[in-house]
Amino acid sequence: MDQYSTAVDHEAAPEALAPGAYAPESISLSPFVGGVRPLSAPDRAETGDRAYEDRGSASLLASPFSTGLIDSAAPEAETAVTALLAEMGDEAFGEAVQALVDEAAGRQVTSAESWSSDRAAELPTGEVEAWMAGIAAQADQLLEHLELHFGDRTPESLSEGELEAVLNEALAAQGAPDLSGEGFLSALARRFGSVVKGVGNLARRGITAVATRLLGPLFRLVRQMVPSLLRSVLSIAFRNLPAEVQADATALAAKLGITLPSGAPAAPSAAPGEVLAELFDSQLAQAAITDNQAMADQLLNEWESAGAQDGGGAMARLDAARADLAEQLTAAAPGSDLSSELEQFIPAVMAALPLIRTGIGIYGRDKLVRLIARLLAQLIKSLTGMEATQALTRAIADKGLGLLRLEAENAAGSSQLGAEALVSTLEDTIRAVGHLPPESQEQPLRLQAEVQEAFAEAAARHMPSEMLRADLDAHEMEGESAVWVLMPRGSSRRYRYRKCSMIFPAHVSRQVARAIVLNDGGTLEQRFLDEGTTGWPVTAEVHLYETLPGTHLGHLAASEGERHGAGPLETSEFEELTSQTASLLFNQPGLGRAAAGRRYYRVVIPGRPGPARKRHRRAVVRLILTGPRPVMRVHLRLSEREAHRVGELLGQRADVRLVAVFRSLILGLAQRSLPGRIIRQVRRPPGLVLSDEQARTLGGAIGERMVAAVAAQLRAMGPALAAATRDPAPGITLTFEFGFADRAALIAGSPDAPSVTIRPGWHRD
Amino acid sequence: VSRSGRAGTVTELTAMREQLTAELAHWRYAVDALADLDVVASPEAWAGLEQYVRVRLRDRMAALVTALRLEAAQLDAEVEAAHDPDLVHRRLLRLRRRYLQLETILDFYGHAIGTRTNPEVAALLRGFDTLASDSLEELLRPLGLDGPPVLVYLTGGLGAAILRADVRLWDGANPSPVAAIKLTRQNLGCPTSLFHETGHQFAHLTGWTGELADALASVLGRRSVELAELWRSWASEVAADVHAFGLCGWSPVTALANVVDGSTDAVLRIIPGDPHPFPLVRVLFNTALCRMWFGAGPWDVMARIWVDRHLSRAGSSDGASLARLTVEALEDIVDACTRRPMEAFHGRPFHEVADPRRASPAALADLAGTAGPSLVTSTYLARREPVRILAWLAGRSLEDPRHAADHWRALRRWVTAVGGLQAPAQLRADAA
Repeated sequence: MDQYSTAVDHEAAPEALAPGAYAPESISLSPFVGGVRPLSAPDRAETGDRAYEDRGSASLLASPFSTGLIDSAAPEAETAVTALLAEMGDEAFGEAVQALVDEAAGRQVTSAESWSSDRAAELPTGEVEAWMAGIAAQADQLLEHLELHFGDRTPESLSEGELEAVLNEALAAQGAPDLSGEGFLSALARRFGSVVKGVGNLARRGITAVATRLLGPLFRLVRQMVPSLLRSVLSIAFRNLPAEVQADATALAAKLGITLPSGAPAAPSAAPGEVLAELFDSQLAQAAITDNQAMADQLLNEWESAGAQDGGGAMARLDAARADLAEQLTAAAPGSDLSSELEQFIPAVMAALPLIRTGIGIYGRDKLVRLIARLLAQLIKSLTGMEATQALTRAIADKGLGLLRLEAENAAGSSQLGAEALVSTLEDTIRAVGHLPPESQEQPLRLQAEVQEAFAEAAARHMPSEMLRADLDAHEMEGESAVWVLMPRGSSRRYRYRKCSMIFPAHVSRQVARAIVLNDGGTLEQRFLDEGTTGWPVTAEVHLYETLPGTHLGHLAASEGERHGAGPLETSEFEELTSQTASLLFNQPGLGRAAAGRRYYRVVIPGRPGPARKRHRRAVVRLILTGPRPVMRVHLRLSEREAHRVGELLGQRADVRLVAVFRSLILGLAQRSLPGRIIRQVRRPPGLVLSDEQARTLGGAIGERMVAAVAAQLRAMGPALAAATRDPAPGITLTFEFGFADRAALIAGSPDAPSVTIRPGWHRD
Repeated sequence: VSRSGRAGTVTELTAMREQLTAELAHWRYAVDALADLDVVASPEAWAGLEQYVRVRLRDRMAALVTALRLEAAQLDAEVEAAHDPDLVHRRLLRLRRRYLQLETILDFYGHAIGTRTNPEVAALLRGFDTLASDSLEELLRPLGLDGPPVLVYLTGGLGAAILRADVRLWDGANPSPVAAIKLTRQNLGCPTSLFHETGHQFAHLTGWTGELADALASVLGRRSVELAELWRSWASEVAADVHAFGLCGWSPVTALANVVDGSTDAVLRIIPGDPHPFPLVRVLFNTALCRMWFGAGPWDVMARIWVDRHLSRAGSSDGASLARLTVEALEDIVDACTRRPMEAFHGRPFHEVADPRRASPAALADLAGTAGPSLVTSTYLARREPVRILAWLAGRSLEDPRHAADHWRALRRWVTAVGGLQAPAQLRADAA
């Protein structure tokens, strides 16, 4: 008789339950081979709300920053901050800060193996801190350069081009790319340039709050704020910042007094570094407007306290707890009850998820932990002990782990992979249960059902199918079996993401590639063509990844690059996996479903080197409100391939085909990415409301006018276009600047005809 | 047999077993030592390979060593049993032979990979790897064939060479995992010999060589049986020359002339069994390719000078006679090579697989003119038109020999960038 059908500890279970509320007549059913009762498979709710990145409730946020330094009695200053924030809407700064977060995370994970394998310790940070100190020093020297030039000037006194020239000079002195560059220093210089220009514009408009202000004090304040910004970057990368600071931008903006209208559509979710950048922007804007030393001091104090906060090493404890439990699972006698070990493990998982902490507080943390531990202990009984974990390791090794190059770990009867698969199963189950609303956690039967269901789903992800019951219907894949392996592998056992053991071969037709939209606003077809594809279908391999609590894309980029003996990959190589993409690429839509963490994929063409450079965003939108009329700039950034195609068509005088090329590029972007970009810009200043529909309308109108402008001005643009396509700079940028009669016209989607500027290279000013 | 005789036999057997055990221990240790591939080439040199090539080479090498270790382990068991010491000894000698074969293989690749210890050379060679494999892929893919990975290495001497992918290695059993192409230092300024060598791989994979040999023999047979048979025997080298011409146009011809140049005796000497046409004929054939596809040009001057140097004063040696016959037949030979439909190309002629007109000096100049300075900075063009850009860069020193050193440096920088190890910013600075 199977032990699971009756394995109930009737004496122990009720202790954890509300009196009389629960008779555990059918404690959790195991999904493993040998279970006698099939798991019921009720309709499972979509699990998207279980992702780690769930940022559902702004009410949980408690910003360490002030809720706004602008006195409500000072509407002029508030208006000025609003206008300035809009002017600072270049997303490149947020992207640059996020890139720093990713690089710091990657550097930490790749340096980990050369340090102590004491798993109780935090990952090493010394090397990363030294690297960041170098960036901070460069940033300070850059700002000092500006202070020396402009400290005794007012923003409105700066002549056209003067600021840009000195900014470029300061960047060159640091060996950094110029203002059009993508790196942090270039982005910081641009950001500061936009603030100074914005304040100058406001002063010229007669805003008295900023009139005749010298730039020196602002420079000095920013020189003190930047190191705190960079410390916060490290804290995010190391996952030490308290959860409140890692909230989403919308909620954070609300806490900072940047009120969003209740009907505003959800903007695309922001990465933690982008959130931090927005926070920095808001404080910078206030600092630029506030001529008050006390307020400036307060801003500085807040920044410094933000940079110094520490989340208490939850990730290090989770690393250690995973390793401990894996060892306990292996060392235990077959059939052992590991309830007490699980009671130690569960809090470590929960501590990494603030939302779980909140729920548990309501029900009673200890009781819940004991109950979950007991339920899980029953479910894993048959897999405890060296023999069972070794068998599991062997079964996992058969699932194509050769592709992950883990041969050494499979040698000599290792049990680690098997034990870790069990730990992952348990961890995902705990996380799923922890995401239940508190009222559900108070219902033991509901809780038991949830544990059973979540465990079955997690087991289907982490265990080879032959270890599971044939009637289990929780599998993500059809006709294949794969498992998710903790990565990066190494003696330190500090895992930062999971990788699917199966690498999916894909023959990507042009039509399929065209249907897959990437983060940069382009399609997979455009990416393949940009990288030199000449024939279809493209034979490729698709690698899949899953995030853990604390995962940054920098971890994936660094670890995956190092595994192949190369430097870090570009984070832009990792695209978020959806069911549609999973279906199109390798016909496994189940893998695109939201699971325990976010899923990403990377398309690799065997034998072809990776992308030569970071992929560029194809459209950049800027909204400028510091002038008398709203202005929207749309930078259309053509890839090198597109630029050369334009050059060829110009050479052939093929005007109709040229307009068709632009039409295809512009309308594709207008449909795919312009509405989202517009919403992100519009949501920054308060007072502007744009629904999804209005954003689409505006995007459509802008797209049509861009095409019309190209068609009307093609002959006049010809020489500039031809020169730009021949320039050594990669790609070209067509900047379309739209004026609007007023904000109502902006919201109504009624732009004026645009002016068009053509420049070589990619710009976003 | 006396008791003492039996004892003597037993003692003898034991002694032989111990001797075999000691000998086997020696070879097992030697075989085990081969398993560390970082001894074959330094980790820095391995890191200079593109990941796909590195994995493929290491996997194949590891498999070879593993197979030999397995054989040694089996032999160990046989020594223990030692039913037939002579048989075991023969197998031991076979193991030793196989060890030496394996060592030859590993030494070959170790030497090839080891030329990448210097980071600058590694970056340059990686660029050549990419150029060679991309050019093969470009031609083979439409024919439904996969191009192999390419490992380029550097050595001294005059001529380039290739160890084709999938040919049997020195052990006579295992195939070469990559196409290993030897480039020579003196030719780095005009490295178009790379495409002569990939031409061998191309001809092998498509099955072109045999068909071309028949075609050449067919068109020349009516002129001279001897001439026809010679050209038949040269078909593999002719195919490689035509391949390089189809991809790069004129610049490979000048590089070839520099390599095969010599005294009149040398350039007219026919070496029995040599798959290469003798130098005068080879140069005249290549210039004829240019003339018939591009019209008049500097190749005519080269042809005239070679004829004046070596043929006008030559007597009636076999070489001179055959060269004169060849000159009369050049049009037919070029036609057979480039315009005759071939089964290897699914019934199409070579020029439809690799159109030489795209590599004419005028077409390359047009490419360079349209792209402007972006020609050497664009990563897109480097992937889309790598061979034509290389051909144009190699041709610069021919058009402007006074600044040849500058052009060669520019070519090296561009090839290095193609390998993905140089920041495009450096190239942009150069272009500016």
